[in-house]
Amino acid sequence: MELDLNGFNADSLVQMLKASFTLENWDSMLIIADRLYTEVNTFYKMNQQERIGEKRVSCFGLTRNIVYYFGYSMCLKGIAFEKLGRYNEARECIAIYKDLGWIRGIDADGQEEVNYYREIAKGNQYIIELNEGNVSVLPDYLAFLRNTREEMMPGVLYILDSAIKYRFSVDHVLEEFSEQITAMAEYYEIQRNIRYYIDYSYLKARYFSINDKVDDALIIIVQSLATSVKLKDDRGFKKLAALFETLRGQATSEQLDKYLGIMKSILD
Amino acid sequence: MKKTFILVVTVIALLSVNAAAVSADSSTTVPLTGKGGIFVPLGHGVDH
Repeated sequence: MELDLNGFNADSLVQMLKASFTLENWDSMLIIADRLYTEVNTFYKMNQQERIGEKRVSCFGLTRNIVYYFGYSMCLKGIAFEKLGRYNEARECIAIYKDLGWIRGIDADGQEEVNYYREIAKGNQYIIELNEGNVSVLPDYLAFLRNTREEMMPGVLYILDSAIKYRFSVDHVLEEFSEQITAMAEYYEIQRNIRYYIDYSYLKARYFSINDKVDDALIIIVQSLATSVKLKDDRGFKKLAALFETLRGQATSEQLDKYLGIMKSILD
Repeated sequence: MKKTFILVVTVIALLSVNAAAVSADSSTTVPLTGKGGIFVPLGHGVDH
């Protein structure tokens, strides 16, 4: 796929990365991320020349610290590689943004960004390990999530996904984080949080269904189906309905009636 | 060029979507755009 990125500034490229991520366009993310890194690197080198020449340092219209762009480009590139299953290349990206201390002339904000990406690199490293079935990193990953509250929701989703794939127990994780996640779900601040909560409900139901807690799974599914209809989350609805159908034979008459009621509401 | 245009339009559309607070009992709905839902793509640092 060819992308003409000429004329887009660094902040526009950041927005394009976020949009591509939401649309799951991993290949585009690789291209855009590289473009962003190259552009910011050019600015950085120009800045260094200005410093050497004791000239006034240009800001090139960047709205955030230059460290942010270095980190963000490689972080998103690494995530794209991870989504594509190219884990070694993802690790290479992580290695780059894990240590941004080489950037010279940064202020306190820049140092914060350096620290931020050092921590985020850990989280994304754990994700790759979990994707490869390396459950031994789970305790360290949980420690990371406890220290980085804003990453808790996606982290728990990753853990659930891995637990379903590799069939290991994460009851203790659900016990620890369920209440906080449910509380967070009451404040739908951004759309991504809304989707996270529906995904969480689906994954939790699926996890329960493969761990002999079918009734718990069905309760969650029926509740979440109603939510997905209300929020017009068609993809979430489809997955939840499919899961319900696989468990239909074990549903109570009450659950079947509720399910039918939800389906009828769509036709109204 | 066409693909670039489509991408830019998509970005603009996504940027113009405003999140709304939703309560379980509210009739207010928040249309979800994009390919979201199960599974929302995950990744630490995306929203930074």
